[in-house]
Amino acid sequence: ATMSPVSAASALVENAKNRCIVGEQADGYLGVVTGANVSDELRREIRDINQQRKTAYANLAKRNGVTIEVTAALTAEKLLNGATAGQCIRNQAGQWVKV
Amino acid sequence: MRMIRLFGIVLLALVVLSGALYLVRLPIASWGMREAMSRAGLENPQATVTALTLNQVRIENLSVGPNGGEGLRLNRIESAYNWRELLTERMVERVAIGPGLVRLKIDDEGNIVLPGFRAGSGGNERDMPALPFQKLSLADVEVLVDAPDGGATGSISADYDFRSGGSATLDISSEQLKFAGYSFARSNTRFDLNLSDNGDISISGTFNSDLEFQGALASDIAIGFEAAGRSWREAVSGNYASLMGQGKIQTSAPNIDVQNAALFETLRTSTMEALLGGVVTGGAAEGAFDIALSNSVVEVSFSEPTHRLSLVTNKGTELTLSPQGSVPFLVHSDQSDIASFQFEISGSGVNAEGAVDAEYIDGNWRVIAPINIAAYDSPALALSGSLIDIEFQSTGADIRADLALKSGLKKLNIGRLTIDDTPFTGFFEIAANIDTQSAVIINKDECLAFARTHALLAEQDMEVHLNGVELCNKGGSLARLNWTDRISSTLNGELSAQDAKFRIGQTKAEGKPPIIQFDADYHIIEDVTRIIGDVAKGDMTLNNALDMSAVDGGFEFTLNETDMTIDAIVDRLLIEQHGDAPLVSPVIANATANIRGTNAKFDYVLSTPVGERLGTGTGTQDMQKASGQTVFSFEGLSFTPEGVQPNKLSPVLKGFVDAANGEMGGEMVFEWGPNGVTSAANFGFDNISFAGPTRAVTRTSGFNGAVALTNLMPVQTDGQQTVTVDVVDMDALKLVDGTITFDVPGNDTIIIPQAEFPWFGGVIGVYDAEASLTGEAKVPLRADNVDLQQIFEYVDVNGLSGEGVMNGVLPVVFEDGKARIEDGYFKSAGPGAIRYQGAAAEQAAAAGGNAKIAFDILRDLRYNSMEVRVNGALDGRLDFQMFFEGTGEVNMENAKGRVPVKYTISLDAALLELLQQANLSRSFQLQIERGLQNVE
Amino acid sequence: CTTVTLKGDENEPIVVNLNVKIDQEVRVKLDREIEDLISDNPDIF
Repeated sequence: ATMSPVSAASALVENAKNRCIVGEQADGYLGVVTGANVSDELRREIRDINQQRKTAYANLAKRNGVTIEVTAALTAEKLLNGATAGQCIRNQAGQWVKV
Repeated sequence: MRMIRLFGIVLLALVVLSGALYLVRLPIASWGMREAMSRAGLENPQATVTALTLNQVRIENLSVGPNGGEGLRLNRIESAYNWRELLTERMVERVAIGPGLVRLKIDDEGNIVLPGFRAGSGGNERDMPALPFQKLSLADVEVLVDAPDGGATGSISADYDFRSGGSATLDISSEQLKFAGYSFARSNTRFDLNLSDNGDISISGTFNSDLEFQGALASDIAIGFEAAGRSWREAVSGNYASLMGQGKIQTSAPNIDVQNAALFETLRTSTMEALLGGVVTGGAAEGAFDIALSNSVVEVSFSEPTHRLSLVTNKGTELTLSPQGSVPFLVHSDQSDIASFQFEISGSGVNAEGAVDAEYIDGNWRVIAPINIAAYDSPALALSGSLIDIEFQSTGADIRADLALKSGLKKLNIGRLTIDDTPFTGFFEIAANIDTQSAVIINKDECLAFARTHALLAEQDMEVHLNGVELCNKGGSLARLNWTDRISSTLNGELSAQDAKFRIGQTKAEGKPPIIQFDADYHIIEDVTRIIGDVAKGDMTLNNALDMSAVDGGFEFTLNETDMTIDAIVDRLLIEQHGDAPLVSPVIANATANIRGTNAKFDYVLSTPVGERLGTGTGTQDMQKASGQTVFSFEGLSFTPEGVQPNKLSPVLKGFVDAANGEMGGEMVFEWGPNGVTSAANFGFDNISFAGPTRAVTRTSGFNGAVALTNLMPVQTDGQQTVTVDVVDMDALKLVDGTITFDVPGNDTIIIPQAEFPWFGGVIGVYDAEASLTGEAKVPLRADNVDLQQIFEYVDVNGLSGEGVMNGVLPVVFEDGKARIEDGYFKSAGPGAIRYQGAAAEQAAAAGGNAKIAFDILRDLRYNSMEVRVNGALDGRLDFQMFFEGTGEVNMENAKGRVPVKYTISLDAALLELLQQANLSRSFQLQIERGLQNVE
Repeated sequence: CTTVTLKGDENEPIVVNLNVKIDQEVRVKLDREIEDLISDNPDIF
């Protein structure tokens, strides 16, 4: 079955995450690992995912009376913990660390 | 008495001679003679018997035919007989005829008729009765032949004796003799027959003439014939079957001229020249054969190898027929004719040889002919190493053939279409019918595979390369030919290929071609080609710009002497921008297009792959220069969450715009040519709302207005554009009901001459700002005449109020998808006041001490100058530093009443909204940090 | 912290430093909502 565009995109991102080109950041958004080169297409997908995350964080924040920053950071904690071996994540201090 | 006896004998003789002479005595014999002749079907018979004896009769001036002797006129016939033999065996001893005249007539169909003899009165030769005479002599008999045009004269003499044999000579010549389309001129026939007493027969003859047939003229034809056999005695006594013998024929036609032969009228000379390598104007033929006759089977073989039949054209091409081993060239018998020969064609670009075995039985043909074409070069057709193995048989008008074709096709010209470099192997079945003058060709393996092919239309500068090609039967057949009045061929099939390159002028397409089901008609005489086809699937890239695939459509292609036209209807075509980061997502086109000469026009409707209609467009393309333009317009394009989305239409908008709704209309114009693509657009936004632009702005809604762009790649506005927007929601900062004038010069920056929003009674706006569209951008928001009272109403904290007017600047920094205020400040314009009697104040009052004092002042802090500094992320924490200089109520031991104060409030607000939530005062945890600054 | 400078005469102003921090208590409920957020949107998390 052909991949629907959205999941096809996430496959692209998933692959990049597993190859430590892209990683989860402490601020709740995807980031490009410093030094990794990224295709335009992947860059667009990351931007798109981050925008959708921002909308999701904003809705969650409004429902819970907290700042978007907080919902983003709390989600980040879970995402960082969920990172699988071989993936890279960016800690609070902004350093990229390989899991 | 003797007279009566004579009369009886002669009567008998007459009956015997042909049943004609039976009256006695000359006048009666003559009358009887005439009676018998007319009863035997002779017309206007004349004859006078001048001598009649027991053993001899002489007839003079015997003539048959209209107006006295136009048919047969024999001056003198003498016959000697033994009257007993005459009676019993109907044999006469001797017949001597001559001098006289035999006048033959050739009618238009070529039948030889003797005037006066009714046609059909003679039996056919096989059941001819034995010769009724022992001896025959013909002396000085003239032969006259009348033809519809011209005639021939000659003489015949013969001397025959049953016992000793005899000889005969026929010599006819003619200046001009024409019948059944054949026209002989300056012709002479000489024919000698010798019968020796032992039964041997020897025949020799020559025929020299010029011959013209349907415009083809062969002059100085010479045919020599010699034969010997035996036994004439058997034949004379009716036993023809036993005749046997052998002979030799020498034929030569040194100069044949076919320039205005009827055959070539139907084929245009150019086609003839193209196919046969130059106009064949004539040639020479020469050949010799050995003939053998035995038990009524005639075998014709080539004479020694050097004397086979050869035909040489004026272009030097030589066709030579030679034997297949020892098999005779032709075997003719009553039941069948069997021919077998090898042939070789060589010279001026042709080198081919092959063999033919043919059988003709009861009107039906069967031919087997393997032909090997080592090389064939002519302007129209060039083959190398081609093998043709054809076997066909005819039953009545139907012909069925099996054709195996291994072709090293180097070049084939059909009209102005050239096909070259197309080696292929194919097995075909051909069913033809002479009456309907049509044939059907079927590919036995259903599909014909060839490694590659290349086709070129020079005048149109149109070229196609195909690799891994398959041409399959369609509707059960591959081609239909008919040669009624207009010679035409119809090729129909399904064409598919692994890979193709297609080009008209500079317009090029490469990739997997669509499967084409087509019917192609080619009328040779008018030189008109017409192809109607359906196309499906395929995936080709057009000029490295657009990928076109999954086509479903049809086309009609016509090509005549001067120009080419193509009309196409595309029901569905997937169009994607070539390259891995396209500006536009794939769309589905439904289009009509036509090409006239090198100019194409097209109209189309675009929709998304899931069928959401986007808009319509029209355009033109100069195929030669590969330049063109198109105008795409769309009205009422509505964005819905699950439906059409800007960032789905144009992936470059991903991360900039998302979850849009509202309607949009407009028009996009693209122009392309050798030096690239230019684009322009006019967009009309109707109450559009969307997440963005960019992640920094959570949502923009109520976006209205028209935007004109002079370029889409990169985006460039046509100077300043003005739009209105209801809300720009940047989390902590919401700008409402604004008008924005902006300009995108196309160098990745945005210039905002003015963007203004009403804001807490004043105005907040951007003035003459410029920011980068990609990297970090800093946009200063200037706030004027901001009313503090309206702010406090907005903040809506119980017990908090105030008034005053402020101006300030909020520099918003957009970076990495986030927006923050950096060094924002407000300054009071004139005095104002801040008053707080809320819950926090009561808590502080209870606590007493500094807190009480601080909040006492705050109950009614009137300032004459106030400054606020703002910093922080719009989606996170904001930090306010408020400095007041003014007076406040104090109630202390050493100070009472309004005292001057310097009041600083540091407000670290996680969220402005927290300020306004009703439960703020209840759950409001105010940590009042106090520090005592001891002045003393 | 709140700093108050007390002076006798009227023209020496009182200096007050009021620090107000408005915080948000992060409720446990948010934690579960975040779990749902991640699981409900596999394509963006």
